[in-house]
Amino acid sequence: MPPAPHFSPLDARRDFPAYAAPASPCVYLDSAATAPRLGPALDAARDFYLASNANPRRAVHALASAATRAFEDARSAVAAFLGAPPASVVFTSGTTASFNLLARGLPADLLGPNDDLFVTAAEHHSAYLPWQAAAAARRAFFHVIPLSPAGDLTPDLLSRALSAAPRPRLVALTALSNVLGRPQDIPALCDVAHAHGALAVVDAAQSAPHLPPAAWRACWDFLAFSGHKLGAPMGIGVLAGRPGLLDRLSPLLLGGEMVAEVPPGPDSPPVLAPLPSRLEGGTPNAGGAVALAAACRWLQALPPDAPSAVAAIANRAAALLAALPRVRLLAPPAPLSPLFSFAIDGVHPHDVAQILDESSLAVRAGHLCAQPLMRSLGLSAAVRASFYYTSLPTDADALLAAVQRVLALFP
Amino acid sequence: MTSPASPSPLYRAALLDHATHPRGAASIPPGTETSRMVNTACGDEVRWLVAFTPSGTIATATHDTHACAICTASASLLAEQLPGLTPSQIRSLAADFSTRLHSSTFPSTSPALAAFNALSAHPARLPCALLPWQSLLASLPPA
Repeated sequence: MPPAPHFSPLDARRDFPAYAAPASPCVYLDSAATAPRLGPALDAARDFYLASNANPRRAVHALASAATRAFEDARSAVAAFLGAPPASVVFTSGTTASFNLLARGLPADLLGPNDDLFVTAAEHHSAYLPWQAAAAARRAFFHVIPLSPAGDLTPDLLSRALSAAPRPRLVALTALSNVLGRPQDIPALCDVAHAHGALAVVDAAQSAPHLPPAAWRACWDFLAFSGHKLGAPMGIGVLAGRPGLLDRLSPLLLGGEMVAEVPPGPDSPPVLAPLPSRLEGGTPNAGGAVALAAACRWLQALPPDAPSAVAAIANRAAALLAALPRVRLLAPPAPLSPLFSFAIDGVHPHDVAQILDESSLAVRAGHLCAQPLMRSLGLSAAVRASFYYTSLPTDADALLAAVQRVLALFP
Repeated sequence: MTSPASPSPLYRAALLDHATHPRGAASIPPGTETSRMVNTACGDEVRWLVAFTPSGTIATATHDTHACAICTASASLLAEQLPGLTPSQIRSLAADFSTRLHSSTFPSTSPALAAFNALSAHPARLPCALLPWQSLLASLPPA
């Protein structure tokens, strides 16, 4: 058997049109915000619109049949990426939409008055806010679980938090914080949640491109991620759920395709369509779905050392910066961390990012849509560098030189 | 690649001087300020403590700014101008500042202000420069 190929970012870059020119536009270290656009994903969307441009599931003509096949094939591909059955996949516009659908659509017997709902201190606003609102609307108790000193939700921390509550019903946790970048032990955490009778809802927005979700063997009850963080176009995402649970969600969007019958009489409630249509009201982002499927297949075809290769560059960059005076990492990087955040004493994160931009480095600065986490760290803002399959080892050196320039400008 | 010694078009020495040695700055105990404004996107906070003369002009104006260099320098440059001004004059200056900020028309005769001309290429940073002015306007009596 031939040895498995090794990952090469130069090879990977051939699939990203932004890197087609000899000189890259910038050192892009903001893939945690949105990944570079993947050529095969863009091609898939374009091909769909050129050859199968019709509204899936709506008409009987040949184009609609082709569109439906493409759309449902995309669903199957995404399901395979997740290691789950196609019936567990609902397309949304992204992680934010997925969590809003879930938080509003859960039936009252799964989350109701006096129940205990848990999030972690690391949750992105796209998870934190919908669950906070759901708890308030349902008169449930909203708990924020603090992280370990290293920045993790350990099984022990989770178990202690759930044990202290009388009616733990749901735990929302991120698989990889967009600020701290440390992969979490999702199977172990889901086991703890289930042992306490709670649903496990996983935010895979940051982890999906870096930690193959199929390895979790669908241990979660619900999971969400966004296509644009995998290189697909913006505006497509997934809410995945156990089919028995997904079937119990109320739709967020009422309108076309999600209804089987609108009975006569203004007071007669509609008869809803079966899954997945019931939760995919309106014309779907079919081009986005086929693009997402292409992105999932691209990731699955990467050499097995690809995620660790990206993390190695991120870890080296973090180590270089941590050795500088006045630079503080917000958390110790883990072996598979694709990103890290840092602060520089005496220099505001926005000034850091601005000066890095003068060196053609793109990083993210601000509260990173994680104000509860920032507050727990005693910060209002930080700088984040995130790495992807297009990152080169020299990117770490470029980041070091640019941060050294910051220190020189603000002695 | 920009070297560590490369000058910055925005972070010029004159602006950095105001950012690191802000004029009119003082510690204002929370709750004692006459106005406070926060940019929640980045955590920049500017609080003013303003006192007026019997004739309605600015007697004293100090700011307690916890913010980026752009915001702090803007507060410092603003504080230098305030003693003796009327609220009407301040409102007029605020409008002029905003116009010049958006059009990159600060005169070169003020090196620190002229550095703000580089901000129009970075619209996300315009609120940083405007925050001290917006906060100060909240300290003024109604027009």
